[in-house]
Amino acid sequence: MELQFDTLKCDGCRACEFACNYHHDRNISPLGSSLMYYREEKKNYYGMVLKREKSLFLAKPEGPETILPGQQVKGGGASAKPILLRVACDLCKGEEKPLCVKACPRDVISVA
Amino acid sequence: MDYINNYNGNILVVDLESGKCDQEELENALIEGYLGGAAINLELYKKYSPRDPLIIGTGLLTSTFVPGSCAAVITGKSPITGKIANAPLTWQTGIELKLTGFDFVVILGKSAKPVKLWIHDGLADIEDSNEWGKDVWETVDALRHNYGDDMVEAIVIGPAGENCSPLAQVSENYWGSKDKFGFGKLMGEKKLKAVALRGLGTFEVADGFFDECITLLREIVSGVINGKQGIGEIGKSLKVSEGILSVIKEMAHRDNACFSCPYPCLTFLKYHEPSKEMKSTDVKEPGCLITDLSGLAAFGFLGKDAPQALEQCFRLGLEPTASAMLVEKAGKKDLAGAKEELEKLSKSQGSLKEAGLPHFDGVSPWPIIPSLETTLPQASGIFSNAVPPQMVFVNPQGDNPQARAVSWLKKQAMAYILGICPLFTLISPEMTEDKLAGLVKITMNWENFSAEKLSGICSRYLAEICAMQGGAGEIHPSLKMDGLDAGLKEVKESFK
Repeated sequence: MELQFDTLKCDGCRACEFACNYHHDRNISPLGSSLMYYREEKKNYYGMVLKREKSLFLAKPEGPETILPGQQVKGGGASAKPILLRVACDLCKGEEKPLCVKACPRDVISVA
Repeated sequence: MDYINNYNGNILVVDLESGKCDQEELENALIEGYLGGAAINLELYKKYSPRDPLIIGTGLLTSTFVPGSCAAVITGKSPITGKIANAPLTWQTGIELKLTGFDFVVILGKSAKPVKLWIHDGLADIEDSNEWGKDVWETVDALRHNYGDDMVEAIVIGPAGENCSPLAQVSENYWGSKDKFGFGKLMGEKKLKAVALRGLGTFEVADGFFDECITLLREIVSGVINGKQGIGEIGKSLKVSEGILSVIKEMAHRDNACFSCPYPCLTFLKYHEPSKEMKSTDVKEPGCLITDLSGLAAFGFLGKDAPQALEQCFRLGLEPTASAMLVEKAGKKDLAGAKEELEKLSKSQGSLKEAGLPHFDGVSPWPIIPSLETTLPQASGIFSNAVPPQMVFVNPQGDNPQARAVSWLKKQAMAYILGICPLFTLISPEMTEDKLAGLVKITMNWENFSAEKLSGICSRYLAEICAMQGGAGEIHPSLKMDGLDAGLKEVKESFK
């Protein structure tokens, strides 16, 4: 079971990113989140990066992509880099459902 | 500050004359008496008024899980109206400010040379601005390159602000802002080119707050906004011209939401590559994010070129609605002529008043069919005209135009004080005083806080700012209508 993203429905509100951090750290911040918003702003190219246990999942607008250890992340510019330091998604262990799923206003995220 | 939730407890005081930054404590009394945002901004304005302060403040709920909690507020004396006014900062700006570790920033005096303010991680630096002379887009690029981070949020001015044009607007990143009061000119006079923000800080909220916010979110997404998105839907609701609505439809790429907002109102239009291109291509600047429906609609006379004229306003740091009216008056009918005229406007001292065009005390009116209901809020001159002067998607609240204007102003006051997007409060009828007071009560652990208290704080704020403003100022004859003077008096009296 993993988080899945309907990438084109995402509007970049970042509610999932802060909800994820709240699960991990019980405060408001983007720093402790397994999810990170990245963008190339002038191109309106944006999406979310998810840190999984053994990979990075890129919810890119043109379609999702999984990056395995040793592979290079392309796109997203400098904003896509710091995710490598984050804690991995644990599907909100202990919660009835992942907080990012609850917080997303557009039902972009699901578990499958 | 004893409170541990929602605020960092810090006010940054920046003296541009001495080049020094100081930190003050955000005291309990301010939070308890005024909550935040525009109301605390006003108290700070009064405290520092001899130094012509420009204040950027976050609300009590800014950057939380509350739907639409993206907003910060700029407060200062408008160079256009000469009165205290407010403009919201939305998208990611408000949250970035709060995450820097500062809740409020007070900018005093004038610098002798062009400077920028870099606020990050609990620190603030006044630095020389080598961006002076660049347009808005070049400035944002330079700031992000300089600080090595694409997630830096920037409040900047372009050539119009540097030239102290009354048409100058502050810009949030590349895409203009809801500043219709000439705060871009004020920044130019202060020789402040940019405020760059990057926050990776942390603050607390109360247990149970997240779940209550999610309950409200679910109610909102199943309400009137269900199935709607984008700026075109808002335009349809406001009955802006069919021509502009078809331009939006034809060029729409993706809709963007501000932080934590269930309604994505920012529509990106692509005109330099196919609008449905979703990949990151070699086209570096494929279009423009439409943040200002009023401005886009005012350029409607340019047809499909209206978005490119709006882009040019954003690059030059010009307020688009007023600029469009002046371009049209100059007889420019194509994009090349419009761009040439906009370039001139960014260097001129021209204004709507001077040109004899419709205005509310110099501020541009919404390009929609006027009525008493929509004229009263615009004439009040307290909150930005970038937000529609009426409810969107839903019926207005109140039995007559005066009551509807009072309802609009109170909704705006609540949004500007709590840090909620003022447009979102007009879209979502679920954002009631009752619900928001309930969230404040939970997160601040204020057992006795209620909708009545929230309403009282908003009314007191409105009464005070109305008293400070004196009156509505000059209103262009074309915008005057039966009942306006009496209506304005009635609206202002209602807050006493």
